[in-house]
Amino acid sequence: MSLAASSINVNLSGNVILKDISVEFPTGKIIGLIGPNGAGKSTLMRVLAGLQMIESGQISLNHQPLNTFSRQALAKEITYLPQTGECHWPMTVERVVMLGRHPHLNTHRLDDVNIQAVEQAIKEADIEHLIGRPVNELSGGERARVMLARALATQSNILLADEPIVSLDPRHQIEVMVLLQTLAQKGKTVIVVLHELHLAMRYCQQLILLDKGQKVSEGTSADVLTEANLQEIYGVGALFGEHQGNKWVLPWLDNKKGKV
Amino acid sequence: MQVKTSLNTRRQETLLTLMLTSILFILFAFSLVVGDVNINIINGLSDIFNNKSTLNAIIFEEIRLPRTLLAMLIGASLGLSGAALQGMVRNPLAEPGVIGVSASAALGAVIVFYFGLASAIPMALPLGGIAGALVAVLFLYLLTKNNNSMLTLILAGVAVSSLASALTALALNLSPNPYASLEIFFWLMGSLADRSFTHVWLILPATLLGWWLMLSTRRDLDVLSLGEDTAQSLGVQLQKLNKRIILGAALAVGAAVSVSGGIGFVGLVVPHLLRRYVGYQPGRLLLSSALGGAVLLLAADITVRLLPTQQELKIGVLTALLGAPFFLHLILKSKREWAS
Amino acid sequence: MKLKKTWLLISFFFALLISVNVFAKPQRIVSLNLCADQLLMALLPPEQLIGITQLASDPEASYRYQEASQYYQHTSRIEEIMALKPDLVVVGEFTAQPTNQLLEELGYKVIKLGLPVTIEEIFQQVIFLGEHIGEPTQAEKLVLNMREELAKITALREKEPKRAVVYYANGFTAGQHTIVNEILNIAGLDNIATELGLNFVAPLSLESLLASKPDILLLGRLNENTDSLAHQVLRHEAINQYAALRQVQKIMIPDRYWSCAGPSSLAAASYLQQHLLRKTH
Repeated sequence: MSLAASSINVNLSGNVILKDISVEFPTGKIIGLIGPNGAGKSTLMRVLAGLQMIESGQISLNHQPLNTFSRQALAKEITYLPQTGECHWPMTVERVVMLGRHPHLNTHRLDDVNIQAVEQAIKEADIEHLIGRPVNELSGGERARVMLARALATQSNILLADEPIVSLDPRHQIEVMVLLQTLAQKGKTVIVVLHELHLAMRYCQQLILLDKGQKVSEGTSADVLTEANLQEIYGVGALFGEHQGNKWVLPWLDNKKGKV
Repeated sequence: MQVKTSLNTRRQETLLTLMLTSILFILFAFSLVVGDVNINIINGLSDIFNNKSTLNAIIFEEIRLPRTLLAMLIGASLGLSGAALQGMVRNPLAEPGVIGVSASAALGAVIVFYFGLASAIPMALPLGGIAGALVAVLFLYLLTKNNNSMLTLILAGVAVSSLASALTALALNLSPNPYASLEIFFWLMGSLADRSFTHVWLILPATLLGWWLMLSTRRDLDVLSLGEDTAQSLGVQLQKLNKRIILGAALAVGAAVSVSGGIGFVGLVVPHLLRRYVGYQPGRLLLSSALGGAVLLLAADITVRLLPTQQELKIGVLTALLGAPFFLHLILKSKREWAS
Repeated sequence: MKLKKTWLLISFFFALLISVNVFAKPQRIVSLNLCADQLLMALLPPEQLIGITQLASDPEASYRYQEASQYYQHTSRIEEIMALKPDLVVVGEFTAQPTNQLLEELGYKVIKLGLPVTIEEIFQQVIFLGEHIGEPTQAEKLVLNMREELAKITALREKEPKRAVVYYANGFTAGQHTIVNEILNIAGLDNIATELGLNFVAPLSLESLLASKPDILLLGRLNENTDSLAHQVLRHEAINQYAALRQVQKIMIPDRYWSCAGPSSLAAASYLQQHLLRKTH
């Protein structure tokens, strides 16, 4: 299931949010979408999910335009996990996760297939101990993992996750990235919006750097996460290093003004 | 595994449905027995079955039976639309009475009724109610599209209700019929007294259609709990969902109000009471609320018939006495509970 | 002899002059009440009855609606009443209390007509009114005519009175101490409401109405061009079925016959008798 964006332009209230974005997302990889606040990352995610109106351009799924798919069909292929995981009613954790099976459920009856998918998702997101708790009573991080489980339960081929680990503790942050890596290895396409540059460098096979609505850089983490890019686009310095063959990056700014 | 058993509090929900249905049957039987005149039930029923026309049979068939059926139909419509509207705007305070839908339906019905249109075309009466209801639900939808805070909802409801009630009073005053302006109480408070089978047939098509439309959205409503974006990404067609609920609620409530006048709070109280037994899932709440609404209204109707007042109490007074404190409690509680 | 006669004549005329001056009869009479309108129309010409209510020309409400066009109809507003410069104002039991009070405070002569509930009370009211408006002879003539009519109606009463019940808009019936009850009795019918111990205008449920097994149902008149919930109950299917079942006669009597107690009450009794006799023939 390949996903591709070609010449996407999005305007909102007269402001240009995305300008001429063209990207191809290969299968079996984690693609990180990074950039400063307001770069248009979330908007691009929504475009890819078919939720955002575009001025011009096209999204293709398996070389077919996105708008030729029905919502129902799309839902089976693409899963969208938004930034703010809201749940308006105090449902229990497992019911929320079960909602992720909506594209596959035909009736309210519970088949084993669906239950299995839910159980697996719960295990993967490490929320087994939260079963039976109303989702609105959980902490921010716990709720984020519940929402992730919901997304995982759909078991679609493409996962669009917008800042999925931003409220998680360090252990869970890493665990989720490892999980996404596993999914990618199974042949799924995982597109993640991240601010955690060190994790982006470690786990994403491909990075796309956006700034002010335009694609500024694309390629491996070595290509994209350069000192120059970090300085110019993010406005921070960085420390680089290596550990056991893996490169790491750490955004840094000295106490006195100026570059590192 | 744990998940399966926990998700199979479906058993709890089936139990709830069965319980409500049984209570409904009991109330149904009771309602046929309650009345001014002591009727021998057995004689009455056997007369009806043997197609014998007697006083007992007439009282049963033409007075008590239609009234009972109307109480169930209208109660179900009110409960169901309350649950559906709450699911649509994701706010537990949405309810046909609170948000002004009942008052608007009353306005539509009053205009059609008192200016002679309904005597010319009987169907015009429920259609008038539906038209009024539609305007109000559309307005509600547009208002809460980007903002479903409770305050907005309540204020909008007050505004629509007040306007509709004032226009209704005006229409009644201008009506060529001298009794019209005295009947404002019926339209504000509702009553099922002296209704006949004509009324049942009149509202049945619109009611059933409205129910069908609303019930068809039950799975999508569950998913809507996660917000509009997520719901859409999970396959929900928002436009279709909203249209069905808006039209369905307008049909059911509009038709109901056109023959019973405005009866409030049923759609607020019933979903709230039953929500925990369906795991707070708005879609699952629909059917239970319909049953619960029928039970509640039928019980209320039996009560007003049993109360020893000189003139029969308007049923809306009873539901308001129950519902208004409930409404207050909900507002106070919600400040602490669910966000949004 | 001729001188005595002349003196007698002169003193007679003097007495007459004095009596006319002392007991000056009202020249400008305004009525604020529908029932008063109708009684006054029977006794006075438009030159003396200078204002009646607008209801008087409503065929639904007023028995004398055709005559009403000969009289000036006011809008019941206090300034208009004052502008008519009446020397006597006739009000009814239910004329708004503030209006009554205001008229008295402003110094107008106001007489209030009560609600008669028997035929004798009606006669008394006509006489009372006649005295106060200075037309006692007219009043007596009217009462005499009414007594004659009453006698005719009494003669036509059936030997075995049928049982009747009245059903008004909103499910009310007329029990004891109402003019409607009197009308039924005059016409030779038994009022079921009195059997049930109901007084005045009392609510009667549809079920009780049917269970009382009436021979005759008297229903308030239904409007053609409009409707009201109040009237819908009169058309209830249960009534239709029961009427068909027990061969109950339904008589719809226009409201104007019994909206006021007065000569129209006898007309109402007559109307009932005519409709009754039609059936039994």
